[in-house]
Amino acid sequence: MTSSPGGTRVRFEQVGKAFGRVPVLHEVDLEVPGATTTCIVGPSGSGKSTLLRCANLMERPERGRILLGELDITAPGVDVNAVRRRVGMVFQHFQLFTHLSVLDNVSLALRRVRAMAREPAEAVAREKLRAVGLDGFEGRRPADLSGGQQQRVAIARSLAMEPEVMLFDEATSALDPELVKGVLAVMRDLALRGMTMLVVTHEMRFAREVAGQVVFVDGGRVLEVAPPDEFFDRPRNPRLRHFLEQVL
Amino acid sequence: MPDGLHQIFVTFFDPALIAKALPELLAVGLPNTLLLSVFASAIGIALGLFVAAGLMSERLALRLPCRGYVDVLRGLPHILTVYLIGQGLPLAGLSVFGDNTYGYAALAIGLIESAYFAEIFRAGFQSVERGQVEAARSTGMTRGQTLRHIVVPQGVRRVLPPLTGQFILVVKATSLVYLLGLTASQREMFAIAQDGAINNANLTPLTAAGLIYLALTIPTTYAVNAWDRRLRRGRSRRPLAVE
Amino acid sequence: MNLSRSLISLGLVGTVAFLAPMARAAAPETNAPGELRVAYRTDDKPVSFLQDGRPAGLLIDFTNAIAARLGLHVTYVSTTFAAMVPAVRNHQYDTAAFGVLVTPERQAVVNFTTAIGYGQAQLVSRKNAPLATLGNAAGKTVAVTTGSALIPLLQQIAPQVTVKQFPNIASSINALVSGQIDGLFTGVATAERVVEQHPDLASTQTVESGINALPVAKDRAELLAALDSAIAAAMKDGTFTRLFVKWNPPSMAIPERLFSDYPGMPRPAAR
Repeated sequence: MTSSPGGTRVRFEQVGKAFGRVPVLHEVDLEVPGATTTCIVGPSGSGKSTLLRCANLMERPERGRILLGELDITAPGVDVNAVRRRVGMVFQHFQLFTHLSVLDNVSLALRRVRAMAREPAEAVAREKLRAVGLDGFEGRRPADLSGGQQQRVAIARSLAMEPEVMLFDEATSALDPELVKGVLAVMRDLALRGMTMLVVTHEMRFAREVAGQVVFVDGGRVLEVAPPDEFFDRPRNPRLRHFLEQVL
Repeated sequence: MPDGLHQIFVTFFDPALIAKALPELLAVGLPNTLLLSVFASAIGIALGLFVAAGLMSERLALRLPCRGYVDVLRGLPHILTVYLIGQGLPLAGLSVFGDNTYGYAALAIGLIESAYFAEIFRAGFQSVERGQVEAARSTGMTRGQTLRHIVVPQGVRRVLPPLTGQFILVVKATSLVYLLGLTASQREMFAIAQDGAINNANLTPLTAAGLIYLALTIPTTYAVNAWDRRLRRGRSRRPLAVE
Repeated sequence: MNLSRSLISLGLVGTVAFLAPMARAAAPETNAPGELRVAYRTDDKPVSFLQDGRPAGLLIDFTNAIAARLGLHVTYVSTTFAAMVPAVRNHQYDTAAFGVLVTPERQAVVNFTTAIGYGQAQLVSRKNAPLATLGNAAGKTVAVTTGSALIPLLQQIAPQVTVKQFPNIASSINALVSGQIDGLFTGVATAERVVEQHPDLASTQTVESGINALPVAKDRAELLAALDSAIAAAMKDGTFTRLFVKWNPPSMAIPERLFSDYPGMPRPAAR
């Protein structure tokens, strides 16, 4: 399965990247099949965020290529903005637009990027807010919301563009523990509805329950890829075993 | 001591002269000052926004001319710039405003102020969190759309106090229009006050004008500061809703 | 002892008697003792202007001659025309080295010496759009220098003309040349210079504007009297005539009225 209606896949082929002299990713091969969830775990500084950010060209790989469906997004001449219309991203620190209301946050891209008129854009925005359980929050300002609420608005904001793939960069790491559940519920719901998702996370239980495959990244390399049961119960790579002992 | 105070009072605060100066200041000077302030500010802010965006561009071909523009207009004596625009343009055959002194003055003062506005805006734009820009770009917004809908609105709000300060400077800079020649009814407040001071050999008319300047600028500052505080506070301080 | 004292006294008396003629004309009281502080313009050739970084011109030379007669040393301070009269009243300067047109308004503020010139003002306009006379210039815009006494004169002889005030001559010339205004009304010496430097401009109507004299503060009567007598002397012994010829083109004549004001004043040699 490579593209809708079966879901859009993402494939990393021999992806390499350095920040100046410092190498961050080495020869990464990874396939995220359409309509599945892949969780990426690993120690901090392992390059997992960088890997994720290559998928929507927030970072540019220097070697290798990345396929979004059939499109090689790393080829020269590719329209970056067109790629990002197809791939949504949720950030660790939410990054809601502080000067806009919740409704405007969610509808802004529809009105400016898709050039939709205000009314239909706001109708779509309301629907997405309802989907993440924030019906009635349209007029509020980001500063008035809890972290969990802000992150759910951020998810609605990305979903408004009807992306084919969703990227989550440690989406619950900045939340107070009691708020994490709410956000994970939304993410689980998305996965169940067939979204292709690539999730960098520390939430091992979520990975075990929702992921189709779990990836271990350390030192900029993919060291193990396996379905959750195997990954957590029968890890092969010694560094992964060591990591799991630390975190579980 | 009392004698010194008396001297100051007589030189700067002669009540009879204040009464004599106020009618013309208010009827002729104030409208002219306001007119010129508004036009010069409009030009200054509009150009300042564009130049600020240019200063942040990744393209050298855009950044360098903007840098030069700011450096030259801030560095040249303002009197020279007013002459270069206000008399240089007509002399070169480019009478873009016909013989309308105020047109040239608004353009000259607007250009000068735009250089200062540009630096203020640039500081504001650069203080916008990177994450805001990243979030916008991640939804597919172009650099230009991000600039227009995220960076500029947030950046401007962050620099409201220095912007107000610059606007006050614009109001006072309008006095430079005298360099280009004024008929009696074209005089803005400072020119009228100066004529009054010379003709009466007393500085009180300048004080009278000064009081009107304060009446213009102080309420504006308070209004903008109040708006700034409201923007920072957000709409309300309610306890966070339960999940 | 008595002899020494007598000798000393004799010596003192003799010294005083010897020095007395030189000290006879004791310097009149000025703002700073022994010094005549004189305001001058840096832009009014050939009357009072800046040359090689120093004050020069007809009235600079004349002022130097007068001050020498008074036993005073001269200090020159540049100033704008408009601020000068109040500054003299406030004792910032003792007098000015340019001819100020005597008007009732100004006489209320300062006193004036006897005449050192008679003002003539001239109208300057573009050759390709000339203004023949102010009387026919209704609705046109004419420039004058801010604070100039020519403004009430203009209002008197040509009330239909729009008057625009400029801070200096240079900016009014620019405005005239580029078509922003229609004419310039200024002193005849300045007008001659302007026309000489700008071939596309021409001078037309000449109007007598009044007496030119040097301003002196009202509470310096002694200085005023001293200046008047020094001026009269410098006129009658030909100093002024010589300087006028030195600084002005041959086409310019000394105003006739000066000769009747100062009987015995020599005329310039025929050239």
